[in-house]
Amino acid sequence: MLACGRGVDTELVIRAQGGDKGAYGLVVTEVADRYLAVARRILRDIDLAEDATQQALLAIWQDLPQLRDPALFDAWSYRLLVRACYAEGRKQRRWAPNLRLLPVDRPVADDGLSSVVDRDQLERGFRRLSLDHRTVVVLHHYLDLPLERVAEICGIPVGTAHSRLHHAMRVLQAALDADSRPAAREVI
Amino acid sequence: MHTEGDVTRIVRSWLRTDEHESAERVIADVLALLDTATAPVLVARAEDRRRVNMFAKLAIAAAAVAVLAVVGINALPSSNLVGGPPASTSPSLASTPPEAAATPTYSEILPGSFIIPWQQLQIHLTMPAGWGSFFDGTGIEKIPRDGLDPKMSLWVNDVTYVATDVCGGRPNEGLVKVGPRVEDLTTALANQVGIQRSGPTDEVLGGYPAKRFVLTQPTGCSGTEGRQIWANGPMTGGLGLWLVDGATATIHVVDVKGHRLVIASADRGSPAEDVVQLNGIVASIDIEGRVVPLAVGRHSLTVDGVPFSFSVSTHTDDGWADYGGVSINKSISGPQTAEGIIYWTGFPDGAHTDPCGQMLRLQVGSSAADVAEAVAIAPGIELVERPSDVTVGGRPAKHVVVIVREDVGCDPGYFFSWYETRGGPFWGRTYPGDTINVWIVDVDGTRLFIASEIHRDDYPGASGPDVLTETEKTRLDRLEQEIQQIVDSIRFE
Repeated sequence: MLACGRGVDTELVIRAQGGDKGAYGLVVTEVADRYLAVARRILRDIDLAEDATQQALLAIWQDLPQLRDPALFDAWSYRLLVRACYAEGRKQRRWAPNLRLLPVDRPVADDGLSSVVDRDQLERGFRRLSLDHRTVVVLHHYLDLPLERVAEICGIPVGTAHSRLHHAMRVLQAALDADSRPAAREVI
Repeated sequence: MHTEGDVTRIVRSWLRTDEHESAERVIADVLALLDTATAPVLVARAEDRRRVNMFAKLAIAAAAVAVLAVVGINALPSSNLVGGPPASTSPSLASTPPEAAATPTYSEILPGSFIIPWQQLQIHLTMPAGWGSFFDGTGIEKIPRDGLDPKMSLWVNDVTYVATDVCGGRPNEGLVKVGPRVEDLTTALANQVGIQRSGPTDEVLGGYPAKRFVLTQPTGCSGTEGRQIWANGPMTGGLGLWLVDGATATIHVVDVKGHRLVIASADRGSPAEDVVQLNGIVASIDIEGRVVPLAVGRHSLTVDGVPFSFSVSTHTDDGWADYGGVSINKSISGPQTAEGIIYWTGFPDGAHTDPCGQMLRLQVGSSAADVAEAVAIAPGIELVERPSDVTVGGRPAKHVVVIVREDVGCDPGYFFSWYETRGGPFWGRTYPGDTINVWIVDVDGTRLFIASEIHRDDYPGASGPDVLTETEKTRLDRLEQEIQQIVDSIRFE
């Protein structure tokens, strides 16, 4: 379970709503790493993710007075983060690099993600997904948010969230299956 | 074959790898802005924070770029390069993609010319059979006969950091920044240790002077994980050229009128005939077609033997650019985008509305009406305007309008790759929400295919949280009008 469930101190949110920059600074410090992680996973680009995170944090500050229930800060702020990701994602729509990430120093997980190739295939499959689909996957499978909350954050019906998740997982399954290979590896 | 449960577990694990993001820079920027600004304005783009040089920035922004190639057992795309679903032998008129669409595959490049767009250049290659495109068509790989990993590839690079000692220290550390000039990179490569090297050797590539290096990774250094020779783009991205033991890379550092172009090919024990093919491809390289802003006025070109002209009426500093005669593009929101594209090609008889390259090929008749009908029923689209009879430049034509509704997994291109008679599946990318206008014009028996594409996030039915500002909507509306004006201005000589 990731930090999403921890939530931001409501008192800090209330103080920030009142214009307390120091309080909002603490909120930013609390959430920024997590937001960057989410943005990076949606956008698959650290530069775009940093920009999206920055834009989201600034938008949150600007719009915070409009938040009626400070207890709902998490869901509300994720919505702004997702919106910022969409805005940044637009910038790489065409002629943008189709980056292929190859983690080299990462430990090999013992849970089916058994090779760099798997990760490469997942990366490739994930990049084929639209931002709509990526967002649902990340919010649900990375942040462990139930689809009802995912739908709320994305501003879509729950059924649509289910549909997007289903489609996305099919694409990722296809990406993995497309790369199934004999166990024996070739030696140069 | 992975079960649904397997996939969920693997995806969740994958999403949780590399959880080392630190938002320190972002936090610092935001906190600084809170003290000084009342409105959220970006004070520093990520590129600026990283102090990426202008070359790299432009590379990231403007081009479809292959930025990672590892010649390693575990690293290159594998059996999905081989074919994919065979072309349908019967017409597929379904409005939803066939099951095969769920398995994205690379597109095999048909023999002939192939274009790699790179920054303001176009790299033309003559391709033999048996090769596939990767990275959205910005690189090529030999499709392995054994269905395992490809052993040979060629791609274009945006080199920003170079390893000083490839084999020393911990793997993939010790990268130093390299400047944007040809000599910056050639010097860095010439001084690199821990790798077997020949060169730099003077050569001419694509009509431009170049320096060639041949690098071979010594055995006992990198194993199967590979060692990094250089990084493309941000150093932390883990992207660039990597070599495993025994693999060889040939680097061409080309000076295109002061603009550095880096083409690399890599091989790890390919058969001799494949090496011959690669050498032939490199020899065929032609570098041309700088992207040229179109001046206001009339412009002429010839496509598939059909001469015609069109007029551009917008200012050059906010206008259309010519991509080597293949298309004209216009960006209204910065260099990373091209919200409007007009693309033209001829098509000989046969299947040349080729959704998803060879993956979802429709067997299309050769008449303009056949092609228009094929577009109208392509998978993943919503028909906006049925095929209708119009005139373009005084010639009879068919016109059809569709909106992309669904990502059907094409590669390259998310939805649709038109077959380009000069370059294979050239069309960059389409996305849900793209509006595509197609005109098929009959010019004295030769059919000219003209397509325009425009993306709007507020397309009817969009359900995401994206919202266009009124300014953006106005600019997109104007862009649509400009496209129509350009098509209306076409004259056949």
